[in-house]
Amino acid sequence: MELTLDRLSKQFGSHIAVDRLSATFQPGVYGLLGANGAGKTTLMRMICDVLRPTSGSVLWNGRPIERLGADYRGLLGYLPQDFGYYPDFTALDFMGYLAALKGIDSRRARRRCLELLDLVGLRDVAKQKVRTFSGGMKQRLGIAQAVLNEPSVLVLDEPTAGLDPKERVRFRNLIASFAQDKIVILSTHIVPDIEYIADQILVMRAGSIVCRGTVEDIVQYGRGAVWECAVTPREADELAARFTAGNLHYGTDGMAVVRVVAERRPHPRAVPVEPTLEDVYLYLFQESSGEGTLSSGDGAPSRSGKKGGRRG
Amino acid sequence: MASLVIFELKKMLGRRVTQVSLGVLFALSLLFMGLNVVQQAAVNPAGDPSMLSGTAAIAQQRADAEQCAGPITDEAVAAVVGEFQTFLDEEGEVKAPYDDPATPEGEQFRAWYHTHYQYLNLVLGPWMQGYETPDVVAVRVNTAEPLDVYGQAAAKLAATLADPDGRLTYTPTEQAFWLIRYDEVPKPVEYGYAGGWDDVLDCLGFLLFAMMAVVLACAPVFTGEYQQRTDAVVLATRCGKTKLPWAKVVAAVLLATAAYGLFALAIVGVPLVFFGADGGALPVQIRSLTGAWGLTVAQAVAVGVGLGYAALLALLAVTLLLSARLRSSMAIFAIGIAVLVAPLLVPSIQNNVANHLLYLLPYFALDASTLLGPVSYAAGPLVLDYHATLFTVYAAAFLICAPLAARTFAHHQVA
Ligand SMILES: Nc1ncnc2c1ncn2[C@@H]1O[C@H](COP(=O)(O)OP(=O)(O)OP(=O)(O)O)[C@@H](O)[C@H]1O
Ligand SMILES: [Mg+2]
Repeated sequence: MELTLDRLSKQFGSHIAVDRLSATFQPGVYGLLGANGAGKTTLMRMICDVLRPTSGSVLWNGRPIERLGADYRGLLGYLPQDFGYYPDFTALDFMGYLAALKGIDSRRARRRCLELLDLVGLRDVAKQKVRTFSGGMKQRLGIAQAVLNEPSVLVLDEPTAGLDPKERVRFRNLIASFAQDKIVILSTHIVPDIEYIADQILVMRAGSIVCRGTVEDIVQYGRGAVWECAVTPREADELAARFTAGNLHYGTDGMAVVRVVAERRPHPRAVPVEPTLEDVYLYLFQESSGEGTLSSGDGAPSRSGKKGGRRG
Repeated sequence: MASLVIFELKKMLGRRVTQVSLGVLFALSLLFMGLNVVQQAAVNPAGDPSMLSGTAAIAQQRADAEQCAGPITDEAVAAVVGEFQTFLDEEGEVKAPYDDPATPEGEQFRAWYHTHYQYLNLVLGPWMQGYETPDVVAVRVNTAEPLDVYGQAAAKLAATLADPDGRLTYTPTEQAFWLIRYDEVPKPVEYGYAGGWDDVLDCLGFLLFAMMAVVLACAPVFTGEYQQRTDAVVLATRCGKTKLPWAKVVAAVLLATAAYGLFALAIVGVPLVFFGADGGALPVQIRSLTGAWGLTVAQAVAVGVGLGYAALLALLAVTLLLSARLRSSMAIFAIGIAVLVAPLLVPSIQNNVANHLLYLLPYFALDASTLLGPVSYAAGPLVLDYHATLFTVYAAAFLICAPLAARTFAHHQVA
């Protein structure tokens, strides 16, 4: 069971959304981390066979997906980013419709639909029109439809967007229980989400994967580049202007404690601290100052060649 | 597949635009068909009241037709025209004492003229040029010598076919084609009452309402998925690019068929109920003696309704193709409605090619004068009559556009 992306590219006019991206996925949970416009959605659409790549191919067990067609899509579960729904359908109609589309036989489908609606906490509103749902409820309905056919490849584009903390936890557990022997690829720009769920993280920037590894691997990139120091509020503003500043909070003594991402010691009083994934994210995507910027080009410390991870 | 079709039907019927357009257009059809009964008018031969309307008028029309029923032979025409001539002077003016409505003779002429008017119009048709009235024509007909009604009709048809300035022009092969057709029409033509069928033929155009409803209901079939951003979800499923596009086509055809059936029932049913369903076996020549189609009025209705259905499916397939290609239902509505009603806005033109093309539109296919007129399409020695051409064109449009629509949707790129 292997999903391979082979020099996958997508160009919109002169704009390159995904740039000769190669990667291999084996069963496990993969978190795709990237800023707005990094190309996550575009990449996922190509993986899900709804967008034709400009060049390159997606291979399932070594065979191109356009040749596998319906058989490949039968293995797929996809939650698109801000997907639509049929306003006049009830949640159960919607699930039934997707079950029919996924070729699930109708008697089994009904039981499975109710089971899943139960699992995402929509059992009580199964007979209500989707139109009346809140954003988070729609999102949960989307998650439920994605796993309806017990897919081997589950692609979730920003699955936790719009979920409240309780539902986030429920979602993480759902994915954890579901992920056995499956390839789960999820995208987000919410760092803490991915930290908990993903075995492996792929950081995407300007259409390419700039680094890849477990949370611990990725955090290594930030080692020695994350600092904390207590400064006056004015100094804090200066630091924020010159460097990529992370969290900032004010102590009781009126001093500001700033977290700064920089290659060199940004302030005489700054002390190096243990980086978090969020720091690395800021580090990789810093654009404001010239210092310590990591280019996405050939010089990037890309580890996409290395197969790391707890499962992979 | 069946469950997908059911879900697609559910989507279509759930849309407000489907419900409103079907409801409103069906109500309009019923209204027009009702008005068509209520607004019937006939002169009352008994005199008081002088005019009859509604069902009373229909009963009078039936009585008028039934008193003239029988084969339209040369002798029968000579007799009725001869009788008409006794009321007229050499100029075709009504002569004294029949011209004074106050006298019993005036009363007698009035009753005779109006109860024979339809029949006179029909049997004098072969002698009429342009829009002449029976009295003008009647004095021209010499009843002293034996008449040749069908010879006269054939000559008139031949003149129409040979007219280089007509709305259509005919190749020599086409002219021969229609004259042979006319020759094969059974004669003498049997006259009688067929008011219901006759009225349906005049009302076939209301079937355009069914087509409008179908365009409105089916325009969002594919484009709705793009607009609602459900395309990514459905296309990424096992059947999303294989069965789903076809399930949509099948559902649209089912909905269109049901809607058309309902409209056709109203448009055929209302006249047959109020005017009567008798006379269906009478030939279409009771509408015009120069008609060259060998059909009964009931058959003509069946052909009209059948071709309307073929036109509907063709229009549906074009709508679906546009729906799969365009991102806006409004644009599709606009195109569909334009195809249906544009002929109303195009002034009558004399251009042969333009008319041959225009006549392919449903508007003309459902107009009895074109539907039962001598319309044909010639390619060299090959002549295809109007009905066969329409059927071929509509079938081809459906068979090309429906699969293309399904294919376009299956290849849709979510971006
Ligand atoms: N249909 C399109 N036409 C032109 N450009 C597009 C199209 N779709 C995406 N793009 C561009 O491709 C790039 C990648 O877009 P994409 O939606 O894949 O980013 P993303 O990583 O999913 O962003 P976000 O986090 O905001 O969802 C963006 O610069 C976007 O403007
Ligand atoms: Mg996105």
